[in-house]
Amino acid sequence: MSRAATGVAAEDTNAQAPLTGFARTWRAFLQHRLAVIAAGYLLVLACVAIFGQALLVHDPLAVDLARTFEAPSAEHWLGTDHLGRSTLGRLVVATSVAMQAACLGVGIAIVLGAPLGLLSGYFGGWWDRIGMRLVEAIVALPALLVPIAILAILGPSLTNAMIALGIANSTAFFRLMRGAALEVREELYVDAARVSGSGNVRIVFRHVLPNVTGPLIVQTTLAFSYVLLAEAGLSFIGLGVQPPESSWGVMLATAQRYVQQQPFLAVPPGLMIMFTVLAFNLLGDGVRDALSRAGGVVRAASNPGRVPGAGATRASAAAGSVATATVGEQPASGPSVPQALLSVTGLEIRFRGARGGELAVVSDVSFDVPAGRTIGLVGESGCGKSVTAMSILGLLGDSGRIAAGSIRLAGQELVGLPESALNGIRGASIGMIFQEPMTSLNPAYTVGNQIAEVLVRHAGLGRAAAAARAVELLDHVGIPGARQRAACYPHEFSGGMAQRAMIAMAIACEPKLLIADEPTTALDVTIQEQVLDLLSGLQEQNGMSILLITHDLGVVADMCDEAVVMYAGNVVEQGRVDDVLLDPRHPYTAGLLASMPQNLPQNRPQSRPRHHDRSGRLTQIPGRVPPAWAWPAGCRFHPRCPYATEVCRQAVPQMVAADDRRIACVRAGEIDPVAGWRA
Amino acid sequence: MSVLLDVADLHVHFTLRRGLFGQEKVIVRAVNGVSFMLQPGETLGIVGESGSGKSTLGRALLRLVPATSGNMRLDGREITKLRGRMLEFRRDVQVVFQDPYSSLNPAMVVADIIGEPLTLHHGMRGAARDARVGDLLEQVGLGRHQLERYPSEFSGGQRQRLAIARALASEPRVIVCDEAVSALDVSTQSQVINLLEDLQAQTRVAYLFIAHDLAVVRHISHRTGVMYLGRMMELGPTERLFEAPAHPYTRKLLDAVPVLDPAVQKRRKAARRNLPVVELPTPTRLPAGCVFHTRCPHVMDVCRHEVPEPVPVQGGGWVACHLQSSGPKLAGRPLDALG
Amino acid sequence: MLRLIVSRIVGLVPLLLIVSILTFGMLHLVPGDVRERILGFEATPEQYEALGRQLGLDQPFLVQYGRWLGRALQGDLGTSYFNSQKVTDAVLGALPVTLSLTFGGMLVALAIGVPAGVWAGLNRGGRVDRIAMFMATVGQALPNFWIAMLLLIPFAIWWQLVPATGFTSPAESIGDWLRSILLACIALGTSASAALARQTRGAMIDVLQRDFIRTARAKGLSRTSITYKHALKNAAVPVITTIGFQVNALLSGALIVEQVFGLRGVGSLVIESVRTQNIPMVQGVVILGTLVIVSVNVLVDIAYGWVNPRVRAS
Repeated sequence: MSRAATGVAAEDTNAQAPLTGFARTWRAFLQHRLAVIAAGYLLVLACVAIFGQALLVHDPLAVDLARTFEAPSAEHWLGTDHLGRSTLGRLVVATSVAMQAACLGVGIAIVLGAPLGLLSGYFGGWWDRIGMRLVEAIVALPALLVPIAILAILGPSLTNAMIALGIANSTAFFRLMRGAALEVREELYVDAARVSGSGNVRIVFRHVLPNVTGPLIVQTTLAFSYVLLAEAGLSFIGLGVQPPESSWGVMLATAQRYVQQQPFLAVPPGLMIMFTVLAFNLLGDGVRDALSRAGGVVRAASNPGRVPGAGATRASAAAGSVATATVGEQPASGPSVPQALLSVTGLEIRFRGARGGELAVVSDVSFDVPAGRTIGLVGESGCGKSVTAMSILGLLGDSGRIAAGSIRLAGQELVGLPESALNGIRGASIGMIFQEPMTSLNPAYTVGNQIAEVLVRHAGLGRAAAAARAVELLDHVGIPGARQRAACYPHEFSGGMAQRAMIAMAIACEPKLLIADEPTTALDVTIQEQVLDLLSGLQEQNGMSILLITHDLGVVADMCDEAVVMYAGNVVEQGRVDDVLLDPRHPYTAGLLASMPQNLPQNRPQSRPRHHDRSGRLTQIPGRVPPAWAWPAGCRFHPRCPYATEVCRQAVPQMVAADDRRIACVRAGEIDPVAGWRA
Repeated sequence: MSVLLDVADLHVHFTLRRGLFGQEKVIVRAVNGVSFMLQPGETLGIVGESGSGKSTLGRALLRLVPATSGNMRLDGREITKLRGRMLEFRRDVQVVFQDPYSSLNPAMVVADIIGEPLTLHHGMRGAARDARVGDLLEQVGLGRHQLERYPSEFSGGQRQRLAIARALASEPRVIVCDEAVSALDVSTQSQVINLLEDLQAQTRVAYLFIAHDLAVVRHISHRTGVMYLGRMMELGPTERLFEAPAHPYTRKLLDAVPVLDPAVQKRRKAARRNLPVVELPTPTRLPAGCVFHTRCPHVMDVCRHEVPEPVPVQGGGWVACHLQSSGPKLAGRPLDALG
Repeated sequence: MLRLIVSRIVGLVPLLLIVSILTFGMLHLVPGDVRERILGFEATPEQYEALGRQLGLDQPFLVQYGRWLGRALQGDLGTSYFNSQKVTDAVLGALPVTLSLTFGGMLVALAIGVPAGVWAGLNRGGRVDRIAMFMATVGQALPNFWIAMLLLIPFAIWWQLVPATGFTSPAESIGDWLRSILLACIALGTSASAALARQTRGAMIDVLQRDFIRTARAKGLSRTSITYKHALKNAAVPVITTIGFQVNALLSGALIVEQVFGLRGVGSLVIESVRTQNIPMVQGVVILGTLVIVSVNVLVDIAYGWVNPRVRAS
């Protein structure tokens, strides 16, 4: 307990100064230059709408038949219309009309739609069904016909048009709030609030409402755009504002009538509509973006560039020293080990940060995968094991790259190969399967089609031959009724069956190496057992090597010949799996093993490995795995290590080989890595 | 021995509607006649694979889903039919969910999240409430100066500590831990497990510990129940159940969990019965008779028609399996007696 | 698939019933006496009485609705208040103009919006992406009838490449028909293509990040195959939904854009009817307009089922 507490406290010093949700969103919004400009424009427009008419030189209603259809001039900045009225003056009046109208329309839409939608979504049941049917019916109507029909009842006028648009647009708010409420209702924190004793009123106001205001604000800006455009349209066709009153739509209608005499009349009101609608849209985009960024990875975003520098010096120092170390130690990695199929040496992987700068997430990683063997790459989340696996196939994506090191497959260097050459290796000499079999299959194509595709690509089979072979492969991986199943879509498969199909796809071209990234993590234990047995069976038949990436040491014990333990982007220990699991030499490996609850009898301590605490209490590694931007100098494990000394804080540990084992710990040999965890 | 929670023949069924007009009703029997008791200060582990109904059982106990039939009693009080906000019941039964990210309201600060039950149950407000929240934060190993922080500023393990602090706030008698440590990394997981054990020693709170990880359940539970397709197959003292399982499904589950000794694991792997791959039944299409008969290596004729009744097992607990009463008649002996 | 189509069509029945009730109810929501508007103030009480009987106003609401629905199902949506014109004939007569604009506009929108969206999505953050998204943002802010006016001025008035007003039926001359609707379709298609481009881009970006794209890359498939086989079909799912919405928006836009080009379609008919509160005519337009939208939605659902096998199965 005390250790955990200090660990947590130490971590807190890293945390940023607290910022309220609103301040965070505001800060994110201010970074959106276009949205800020748009907001400024709308503010100016609001001032024009309120005070503009007082500043006008020309009475917007004053007719001067002597000066009709004038082009812009010093006196009439925007010219005059068919009655000689000042276009600028009329535009200012129209702006005022448009803003009032938009506020009225949007206000009606929100008041009508939002509360009903919220309650409908939150409570569900009959009212919800009736409300939803009604909304569906309104949405099935041609959009503009709803306000037009309402205007047919009420008669054409601006107020009526706004009421009509408000009603028509309220369905958007109803659907938005209903959807949001439905979504939030399913959140665990709402369940937790109910368990805490909160009633419906409290849950709606304290838990649901604050989490739907973001989407509500965004929808409101969109509603302003919609109402402005629709008002202009309705006034244009004479169903909204009635002349001689002015509005952007009325002005465009006038322009339309006199387009032959003065085409310029169409320009000012059109531009006003465009800029105003554009401003509302940009504002909405900005708010949406700010909300999603403020709610997202706050920590990562708030630590720009601090660590990349530190990481860089450390990593490059390591890369230089390791290359020699690894090459030198090569024979020491085990005389019993046959020629390596895959050889990874001094690998360093860097990712571009969100705000520039690069971060090394894997550095100085070296290991071999011998032919016909299974190597386990083990570690907790964020240790870099999956990134390492993806880099072998060159699948790091746009923001990641291999910065140093070499990856050789049967002697061929993969680092730096052009995409086309890599494509000849992917799926052919190296197959790969993933953690989530369901999402790793394309939902739009049948499973048979997706397997056949690999065979067409790499084995040069025709479509028919490939389809027939796909059925054989599905049968081979133990899928009952393979012929029928080949014609099924992924959603018709269970998780275990989908992983079998993924395996069939990965081994279709008889690869020399299979990379399995957490292949059973998403599956139940009894299914995990079957999938692991399938992989072992296939390996016995075709002699392929397997690189197994997992966080589960049990899976390593079941499948692997050798284990490579990673922590914070480095390999800390590697060796034969019995050695690593039963006699860990690195403090991290020992601590990890000791902190795992084991399926072993509690009353027979003699049957337990030495590293398992007898008191029944689990060993704790204090603190947590640091994110890549917070890796400490020296040994990256030192802040959590009970053996850490001054040396560990400064020296980067090098891989040292001893008795078939390689360990990266400066104190290796002088400490008992198990005993310290019991203290 | 005093009984804190008594669940008898609990059923939770859901109705799905399919077809053009929703005319086809499909009944999902998520929990299908489950009975057990929980004592003060005890941890009862519930293990099972996905679709076993273990999470629904927890949600029914929390009154988040309605029970279709059966009884649940807390301290002898019937809680199955409570209505409204059920404040008294809510104070006594709390929860820690699996996902530390979605179980804390992202729009609320720590003081409000943990303070909510304090306000609702103890009428605490203002400084008194904040002081108590601080105490709770310290109790779960977090600093007391974090009242104004948002959940997004905490790591997964710290969030789970926050969720535990919220559960503790009302001083409950039972906490349902629904996969409470499953989403955490190993090193964080052991911290939270130790915390849960420490808190139990301090407060005598009982845990219903629902998890798919058998090793974790074995470590933390005094007794363990095994669920499959909505039914409790076997329930007994943890050591007896893990060392001498009486139900073929329990044994299958235990065999499937790899042990950390590669040599032992190699032997177990070789010895695994490589049964043919079968499509697993789902809660919408339950097999007749014993629900496990489609996968059972010892299946007998009677298993296909009759639902087995619970039978006491030597060494404690009970099992629902025809092997105990028909056929070779294990009569309460563990499965190993079959040879 | 057939099951999906049948279920979608059957599912329309309650929807159309609700629309018909709402539409019929309009008549009764109009303030004042309908008879007054038709007969004027000088009519005698007997004339009022007779008209009331003729319109069935003496019957209870449900009976009136039943009669109206019965006639509507036989294609009779009533008669104009002010002349003896049948509503169905009037609306069907005006529909070809409006539908030409709607679907012509849709073609323009698809031809511009989808390729632009795919291209932008594939080159996220690049120059093409930024230019395309800037244009789409501006395009969404342009009122389509204004674009129509801006197109009309040079092409029809200054250079007279196309007629400024009037509609030619495709039955008369395909070429003249195209010329008569060309500018209107471009005007309508511009704003729809902006929405479509944004949606397509978003869908492409979303799909390209999904796990199965990683699988496709790990299989060694070419970039072309990944983009056009694996990504595009999945990205089509949200895009098809957008197309459904856009047809609705285009139909509404067509009602207004018609006015710019002096095309006498449904827009002119309904505007005139609203001004005179000629309720049967408005009802007819709403009912037939709804039928158009609803049929398009069925087509959209079928297309949706084609790209999304999950929908097909359920």
